[in-house]
Amino acid sequence: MAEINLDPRPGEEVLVRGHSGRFKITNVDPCVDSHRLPKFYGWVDVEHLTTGFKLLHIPVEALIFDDERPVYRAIEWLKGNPVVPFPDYIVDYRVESREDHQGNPAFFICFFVEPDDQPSPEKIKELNRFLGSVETMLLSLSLDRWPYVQVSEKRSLLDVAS
Amino acid sequence: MSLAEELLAQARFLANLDPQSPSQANLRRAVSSAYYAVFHLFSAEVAAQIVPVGPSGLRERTQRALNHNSMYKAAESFSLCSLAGTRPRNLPMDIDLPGPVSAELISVAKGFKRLQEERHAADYDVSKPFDRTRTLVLVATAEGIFADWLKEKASGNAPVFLASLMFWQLWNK
Repeated sequence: MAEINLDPRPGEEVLVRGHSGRFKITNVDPCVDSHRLPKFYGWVDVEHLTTGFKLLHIPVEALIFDDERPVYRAIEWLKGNPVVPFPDYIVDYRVESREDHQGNPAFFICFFVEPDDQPSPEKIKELNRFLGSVETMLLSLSLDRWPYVQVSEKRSLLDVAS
Repeated sequence: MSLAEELLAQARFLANLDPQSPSQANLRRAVSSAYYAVFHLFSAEVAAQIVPVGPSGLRERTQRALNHNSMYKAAESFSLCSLAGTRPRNLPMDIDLPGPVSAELISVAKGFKRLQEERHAADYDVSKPFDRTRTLVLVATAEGIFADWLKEKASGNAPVFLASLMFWQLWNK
């Protein structure tokens, strides 16, 4: 799992220590030796999402990333390096941090598929295998939250809204 | 047919009802039945291990004594075996595992934990609807647990897993 890239990226939303509200990274400036370091070291420019206030060349250590970030990055990595093929009928996914029913910290990773009233046994089998591979990959990252990997039909969200 | 097998069949039956427009009640009951199928599979196995022969009623009482929280914690620990090597975290060191924890047993443990969480959502969380695909995947997870357990139950680690489900929270007192 060492291939998963956790470097800051332009466009990424973050919090900044000592400042309120969310910022967007506009520029990333790695230190010259960063390729030899085990983790990213360098500076970033950020811009406040609502006021446009800019902070330039601040150390990356000043940033506070969302809890879900490593999960998103890991799933991105998985798309390019699938242990099990990433089903092409998965249209989206969402990661949510909250407690599970026992009150323990958890990630809920939900993959959305197109509605299907009668999914074939092969599709269910493939999905089950895929969810298992995502779970295994996330467990290998030793995150501090348990990854619950789920699938849901996309229309479920519409039903809730209507 | 055992109660566990009946519940598993019921889960699949409910998950496939109403071909055009599945009802929330049936889908949620299907998920709940899938979890309880697995719960009763293991509670019966645990009771049979603890009370192989004995007076009438003792095995049933033993089965009744299992609790979901202890099973959750044991399942979590066995789920993590693929990371930590061969030994479930917090399994007392004086319990000698005869061999590495198999992929089947890890899969059983992961599936159990996932199903317990989903059963809780199915029974109590009305904010998120269940759909056919999600439900059938969970029923398939339960069926996978039955299949994996069939391969695993004769292994040397199976008795350790079963005892863990029962005693996990008591072992480290």
